[in-house]
Amino acid sequence: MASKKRIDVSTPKGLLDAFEREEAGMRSVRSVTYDVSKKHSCDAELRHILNHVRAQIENIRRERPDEATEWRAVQCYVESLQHETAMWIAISKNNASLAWSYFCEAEREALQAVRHLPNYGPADRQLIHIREVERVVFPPQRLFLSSSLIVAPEDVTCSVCGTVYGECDHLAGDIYGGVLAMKVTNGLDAVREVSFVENPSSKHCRILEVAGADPLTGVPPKRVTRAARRQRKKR
Amino acid sequence: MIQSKHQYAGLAMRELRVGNSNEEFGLEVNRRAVPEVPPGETIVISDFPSVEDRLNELGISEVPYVAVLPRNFETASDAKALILESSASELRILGRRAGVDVETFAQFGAREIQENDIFTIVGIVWISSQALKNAAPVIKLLQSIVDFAKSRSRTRENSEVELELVQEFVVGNGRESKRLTYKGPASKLVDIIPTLQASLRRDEDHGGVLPLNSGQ
Repeated sequence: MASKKRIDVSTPKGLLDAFEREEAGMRSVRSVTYDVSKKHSCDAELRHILNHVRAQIENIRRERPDEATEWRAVQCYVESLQHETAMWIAISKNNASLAWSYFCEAEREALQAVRHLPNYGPADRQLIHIREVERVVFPPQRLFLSSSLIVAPEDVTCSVCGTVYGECDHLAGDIYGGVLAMKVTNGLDAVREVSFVENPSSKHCRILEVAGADPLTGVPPKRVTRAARRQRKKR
Repeated sequence: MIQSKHQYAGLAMRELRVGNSNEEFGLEVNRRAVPEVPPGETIVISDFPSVEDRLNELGISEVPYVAVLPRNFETASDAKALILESSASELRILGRRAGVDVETFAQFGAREIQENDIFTIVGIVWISSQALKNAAPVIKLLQSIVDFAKSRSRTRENSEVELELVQEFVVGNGRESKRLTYKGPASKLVDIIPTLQASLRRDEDHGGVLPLNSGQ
């Protein structure tokens, strides 16, 4: 973001309007430019804005919970942008695994932003963009992993009030007074299975290494020797 | 079978059990006989065993008005082996908001299953004939379930929703239950409301006689 002065960070709407004005320029800095230093400065600026948003939420969440909720929705959008920037930086450093982790976070936050910022075009476009990035940048991953866990209901608590989830009125995924409600699992009774799924709720759960032939294609994995790995690092 | 008490990934693992089969856990979770929904269709109506009898077999004497039935309700050997969908707690919250007390059987030892798939299984919602006498809060609950499922899958691609409604009807001196299975996109889940309302109206027209035929 080249023009710091034009950003109004005093209200959630002001910040969202500024992001909308700068949308195309920011996207090109994040994804198109080869200049890594520009990506780093964009990342630093987004982190700075995020710190401001978090501080705003903390300051007003008791007095003005509705405004804090608006700020939390803005945080989802800005976090998506920041994670995407970090993803491009990781790609420029040839760190594919870290890039994928940032991509997952960027997509997750974009989903939240679309949900909590209805009628905000940039949030919709960010989700479309991040899904295009997945399709174009990363190799296709057909199967992800899904763990199936058995938990006692009393071991699942609400992130907003800390009581047993379901006893309170907070629905996971909604924002209450600037806090995103989540189910916090504090204990497990049993691990039932790990299965392959095409559409996971968390894309972090993926296959990192295939030992032996690919069970789906029968193609043996390409062997990477230590020397080759060292050479790749030097490059 | 390994039974141990230790920390793993920040979670207190209580009696972590690693076995070769679900039977070893006493979780016959895959034996649920879900009716096949034909291609191109989303709603199927079929028979369902008596919930009251099944609850008695499980040692549960109280028959709730509205409940979320566990996924292995038809096959579980006892109440402690019951496994709820992870959305059961959400349905309880939605029920409270609609003014309906939704039973989840957690007080009888039912546990929850958490899975990492975007396929949303809303669960099996049981509506007793007693609850249908005052249908307005039940319809309100179903509307909020539809909104909940839609909001959860709105931004997901290829996201499907599965919801089952088990409705109890008075037949002569006894009662019979019918299962309405919905499987399809969340956007069309709203179709379930008119179907249910129509069945309620027909129930009134027939003076409490079972209105829905199997496979209708």
